[in-house]
Amino acid sequence: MLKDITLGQFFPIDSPLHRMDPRTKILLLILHIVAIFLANNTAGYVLVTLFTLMIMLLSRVPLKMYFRGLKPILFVIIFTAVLNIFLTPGTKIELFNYETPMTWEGLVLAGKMALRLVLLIITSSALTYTTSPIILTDGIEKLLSPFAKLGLPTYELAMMMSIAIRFIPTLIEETDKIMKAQKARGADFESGSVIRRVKALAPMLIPLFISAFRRADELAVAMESRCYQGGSKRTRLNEIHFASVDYVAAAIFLLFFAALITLRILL
Amino acid sequence: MAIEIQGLNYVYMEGSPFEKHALKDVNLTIGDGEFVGIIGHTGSGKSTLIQHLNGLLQPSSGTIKIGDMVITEKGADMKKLRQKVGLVFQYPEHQLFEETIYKDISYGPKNMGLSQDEIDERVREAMNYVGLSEKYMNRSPFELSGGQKRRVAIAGVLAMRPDVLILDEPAAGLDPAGREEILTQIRALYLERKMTVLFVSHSMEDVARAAGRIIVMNQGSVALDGKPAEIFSQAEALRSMGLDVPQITRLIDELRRRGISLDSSIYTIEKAKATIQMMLANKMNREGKEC
Amino acid sequence: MIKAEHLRYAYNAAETEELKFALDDVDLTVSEGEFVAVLGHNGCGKSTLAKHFNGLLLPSGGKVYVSGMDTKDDAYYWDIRKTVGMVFQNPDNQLVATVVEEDVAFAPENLGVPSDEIRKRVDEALKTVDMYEMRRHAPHLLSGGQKQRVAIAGVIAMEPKCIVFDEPTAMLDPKGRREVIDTILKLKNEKHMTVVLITHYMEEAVKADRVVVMDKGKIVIDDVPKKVFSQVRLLKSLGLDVPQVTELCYLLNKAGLSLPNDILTVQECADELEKLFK
Repeated sequence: MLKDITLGQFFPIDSPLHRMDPRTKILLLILHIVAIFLANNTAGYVLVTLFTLMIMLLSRVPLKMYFRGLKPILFVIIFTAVLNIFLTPGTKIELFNYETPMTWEGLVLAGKMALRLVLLIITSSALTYTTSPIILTDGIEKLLSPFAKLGLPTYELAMMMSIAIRFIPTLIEETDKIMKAQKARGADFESGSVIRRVKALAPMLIPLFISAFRRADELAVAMESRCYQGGSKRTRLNEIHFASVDYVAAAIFLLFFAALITLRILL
Repeated sequence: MAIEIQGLNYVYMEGSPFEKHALKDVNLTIGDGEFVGIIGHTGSGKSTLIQHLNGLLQPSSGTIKIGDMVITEKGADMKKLRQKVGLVFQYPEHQLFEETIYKDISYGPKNMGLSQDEIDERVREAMNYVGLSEKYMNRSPFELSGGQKRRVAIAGVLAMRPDVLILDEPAAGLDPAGREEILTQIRALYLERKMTVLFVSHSMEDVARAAGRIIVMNQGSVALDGKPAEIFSQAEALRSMGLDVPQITRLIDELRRRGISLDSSIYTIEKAKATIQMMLANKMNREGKEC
Repeated sequence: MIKAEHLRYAYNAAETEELKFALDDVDLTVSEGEFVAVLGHNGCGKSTLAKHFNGLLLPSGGKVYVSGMDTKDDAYYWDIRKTVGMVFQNPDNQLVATVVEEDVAFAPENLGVPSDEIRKRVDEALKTVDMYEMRRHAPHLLSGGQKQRVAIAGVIAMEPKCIVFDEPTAMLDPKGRREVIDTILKLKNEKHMTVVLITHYMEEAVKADRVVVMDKGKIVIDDVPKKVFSQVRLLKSLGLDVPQVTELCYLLNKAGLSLPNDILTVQECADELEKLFK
């Protein structure tokens, strides 16, 4: 299960999407999410789906990765779909002459919601697959920079984020190790009442926290040894800047967005 | 307690791009009361192998029998198995969590559902085995030095009174004195409790000192298996697997290459010293006669 | 390059509240281009000493100078860290980035080096530690030895004059240990860097120009490796090992032979024994 979490994993290959400026990608992602919710008719849905498919192909990330990324939220998708099917008022569906509590309207709504969720996850994954976390935080930091004047510590926030991302795999590995060790001593994480299970977590969480604090301590010393002084004086290995690929992407996106709005108004 | 492993295969993350065949057709029989050293470089499959022995990993195929219990069968009693097979992980001191040493060591016995008296007895016994004085019992484990913490963690496994004890790199990160101490203790424990001991290490010197049998793992398979002397006489094969041989083995090799006939199975300083002395004495005798 | 004068470091032992000295009157000079190994068992003060060399710890008594700069002088705070780089024991806990080359770039970025210059430094540092091919990899998928080499590259990219290695191989397997030691020797021999190696592995200390042995916060021996390792009995009493061949010769001598007592390598030992047998 822990291994299925692909969101936040970077795919170090080359593609037009990889070459885009992170700021462009973040802004377009936000617009794309708006677009997903703007679509309100069949033509609109088809357009958004096709556009998302194009993004997936342009990223050159194996399609398999996108589907693996959907796995952890499959439950949420199914759950909301079931709720929609049963709880939406409307014409009841008849099966073998029996009236079921499901409705046609619910079925349609469930389909729409599921599609929206899937598209949402896929486009967000497209951002993280094609942007290294450091560049991504760089982009966020630049986008937030107007707020720095208001006293928001944008640089420090970005650094915190990228370190958190860096240590996710390390801590997952560590959790796995501690769990196994405690299991070897007869710990049982899987059975019993909720209270028992929560209690059973202590032997795992305490060593995990201790180790996380130790890591944080050592990392801070190592960062200081490498002259980390915070603040804005830093330069970058890869300074981000807008290039032609960004302008092309923005233009294509605006066309798509215009088409979508036209569809919404006309149909 | 004997261990029988037949046709063991383990494929890691099957069907994903990270798929890895970590164990390939491993067949092993370890007799009751053996002291076995398992060596191999990182990724050779040695850690994967030992995690199978107390059910933390389930094989992709193959069977494992411990005592008279087939642990790879569906519905095998894992709780019972883990009481029989104690596993001490690498850097075990990182798993301590209780506020007192007593509580931490009693975690295993408590999970076994033993009575308070029984738990008490076992904690004292385990502390004794690893050379921790009982006066430490109510101290916090986090006040101790690294080496002492490790002994608390080992005691936590011993308190379950396993018949098979498996240790993954018990001496990792310790200085020479600490290493010596922990190896001596394990050896003493083995002699006293008559357990089957499996001890994973990448240090040839440590294994040479302690084990009666050595299993060398390479790329998920058993590459060599035999008495230390037999293993160390194959220095070339060991080096090709990225393993170091004791310096004494290298010295004997070098001398043999220079035409001095020495027994290639010598791997300890004591044996080398005795042999060299004997050969020199013989030579003196011969020369004496010639004159 | 580095000079410690009457260096003392005191700390409050918990509860008892009496002052303890982790370092007690240490005098040590490391010259430019030298490779010094500091040997001692756990808790002898060797890591505390190392942390004084780039100002991470400040002396309670005495002075430490780095290229003539007093580590206690705040004006030199960053200059000292820039001059003496540090590599630590756990490779995982010193890598900050999710891509190898971005991690190596961390120090020059902190120093405000221009982008194209950073690129040059990063590429060169990665080539030096032989990790250039893996520059786009994620650190958590590398082996221990590879991670540690990335950490070393990250320090080289800062262009320090001296690197202090604080037990860099303690958590590695034999292969990783060899990779790291080979890299350290390369830095010394090809880049002419000053190297201080804190370790408890005598096989590593043997390769140094000079070996400093510490015990209970004091320097016990400070000499060339051959002279240091010939003192088999003293080293053993300090909880340290000597090379097996050195011990063998020591034992044979005790039994009446007369071999030189400064043998460190298999070759030397084989040469001497061959003479006896011929």
